[in-house]
Amino acid sequence: MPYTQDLELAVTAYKIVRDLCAVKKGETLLITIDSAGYWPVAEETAKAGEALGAKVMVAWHTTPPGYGRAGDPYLPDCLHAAIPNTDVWVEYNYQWLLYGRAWEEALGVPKRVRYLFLGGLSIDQIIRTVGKVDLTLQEEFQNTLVEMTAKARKMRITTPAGTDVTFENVPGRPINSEGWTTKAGVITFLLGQIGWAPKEDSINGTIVFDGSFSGGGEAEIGKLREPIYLSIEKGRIKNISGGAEADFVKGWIERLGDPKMYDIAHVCYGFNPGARLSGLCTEDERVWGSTEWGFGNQGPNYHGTRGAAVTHFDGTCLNSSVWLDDEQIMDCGKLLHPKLADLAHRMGKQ
Amino acid sequence: MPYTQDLELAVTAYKIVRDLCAVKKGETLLITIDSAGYWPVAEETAKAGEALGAKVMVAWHTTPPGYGRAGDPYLPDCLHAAIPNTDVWVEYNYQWLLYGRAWEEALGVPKRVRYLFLGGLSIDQIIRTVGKVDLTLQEEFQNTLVEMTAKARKMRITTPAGTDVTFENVPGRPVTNEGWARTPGPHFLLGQIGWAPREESINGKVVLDGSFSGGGEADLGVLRHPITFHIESGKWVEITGAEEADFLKRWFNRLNDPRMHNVAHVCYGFNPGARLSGLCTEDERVWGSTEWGFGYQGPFFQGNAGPAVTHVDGICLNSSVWLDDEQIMDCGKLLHPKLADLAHRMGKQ
Repeated sequence: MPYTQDLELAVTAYKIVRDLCAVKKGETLLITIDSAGYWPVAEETAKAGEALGAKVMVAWHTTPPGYGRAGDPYLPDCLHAAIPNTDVWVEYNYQWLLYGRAWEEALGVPKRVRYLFLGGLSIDQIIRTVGKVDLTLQEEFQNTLVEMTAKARKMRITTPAGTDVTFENVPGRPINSEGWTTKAGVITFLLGQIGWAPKEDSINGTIVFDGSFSGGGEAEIGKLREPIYLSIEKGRIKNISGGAEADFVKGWIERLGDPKMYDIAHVCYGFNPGARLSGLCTEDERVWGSTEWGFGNQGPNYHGTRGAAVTHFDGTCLNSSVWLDDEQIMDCGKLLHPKLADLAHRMGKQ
Repeated sequence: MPYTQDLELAVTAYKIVRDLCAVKKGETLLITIDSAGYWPVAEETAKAGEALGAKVMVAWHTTPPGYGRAGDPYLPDCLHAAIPNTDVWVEYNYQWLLYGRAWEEALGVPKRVRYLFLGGLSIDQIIRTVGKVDLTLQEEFQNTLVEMTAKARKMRITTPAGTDVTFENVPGRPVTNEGWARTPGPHFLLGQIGWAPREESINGKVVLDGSFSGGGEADLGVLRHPITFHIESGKWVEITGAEEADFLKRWFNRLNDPRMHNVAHVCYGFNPGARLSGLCTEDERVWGSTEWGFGYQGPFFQGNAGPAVTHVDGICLNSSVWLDDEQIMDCGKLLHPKLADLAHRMGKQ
């Protein structure tokens, strides 16, 4: 008996398996989902894999009490053993396996596994952010923007809420474009995020979070009621101000007691046409026309200079305006660059 | 929204995890089920494991086109990797992983994994053959019968359909007692007790009137006409009966393996919920039946018949059994006082 949006979910699952993961006949496809996750997503993905001739296994398992390494002691051994032994791994876990021991074994040094992280997304969210997306246009949009950004030396980002920040890019540092995992060892995330680490000591100005804030645990604030203002000098937070949420964040960072938590780790564009501000970081940081700033731990995939910190937090700035060198390519979330504007129009976004 | 027998299934799952597998807090519990299996059984078993504090994983996967090694090339690698890395493995697969490569790795030499095979059973079957069974009485019944059988030197089995066979037991050969997976190694559905008699001592007629299972085209299921195997010194020398017997003779001839004539084992069937269904796992446990296996003799029987190209099983209903000079059962009805009392309390007579 079908439930609401079951056909949409089937289409979504098929796109995930065929288009995002390029699963081929005879390959092993592992789908992991904990008991807090949304089972129908895993079930439909398995069906799509089976239809494409893959050897499919869904591992449905105990939900650990935390993400990544925090969850490791609570997971079944057989799950750990399964994870490195697959060609494709799609993760739908609510309490992510991402960055845990089994993940490290499978992906720390990329070998066989192609990994797509879609953890924590509800059925509705995954339909909106994958199923309804025109993947051809999305890929062209992301590739175009990645190419342009990689060429830009100086950038400026502003928002109506008061963000006004400038920085320089470092030639050669990777610009991660999320969505597809078609080669062995490629780690990817939900469509519509493009992220990189600017030259850290070149970042100056004001960042105003007016979308949502995600720091994990008690700092998983979700949608913000009032903006949080961050004064930035040479890639570091000098001051945090705003309302009650700003005060909480300020105190929380102080309690962490790690000066590296004030460091900017990365900046990202959000360009998933289906993403809405929901309070789930994975979706919020992809809201169309937003920018997102990450602080604290800087992943090695950014090739930056900041490195490890005790944890990491992200905040979202809505309706951004972006300048690449002297060219403004977006104004308050609306694309100005002709090619990007045309693609955005065809994607139904403007 | 619950389906029919959902509460019964929950009870069954809890008994499997707590009583049959003795799952303890912190242990890893792996449940495997292919897409041809009955998913709710796996789901409820996972819930029971979780409630008992186990680290639970259900592997729901592609159904291979055959059993055991025949299925190996069609299975996901991650399934193979998972199987040896668990404390308890409950198998609900329709196309069994039993005797496949991953099974061999986990259980060829039992180390860590306690394995309970419940493959191919429908929801109704598993409720009848596990959920509704009084496990305390069942264990006492099985233990009593195992002990008595292990002591018997000479045996005779007859049935109303014409079975009349005698044989000797070999002291020290194991009498397997299925149902509980409390120790590392392979374990099977409740209510089967099996052993290999002294092969050359087996003589007489075995008349199969329940069902016959030979795999593939020789999975005859419930028989329309009896099939008589004429046994001399532990080998069948003739098969007689109607068209099913004729089919089997041709089928054995095509196999062209003289070891397929060997008697591999005999078993008692004593699962109070089993009914003749055509599924070998259930049929060979029908209360008061005996079952004979021919061909491949599993190493755990510690017999001297050894391997063969394949293995077949047939069921003789309503058996009468003599241990040395004592008749303990008459046409499926227990005569031995302790067994008869237990059978009565189990609702069987």
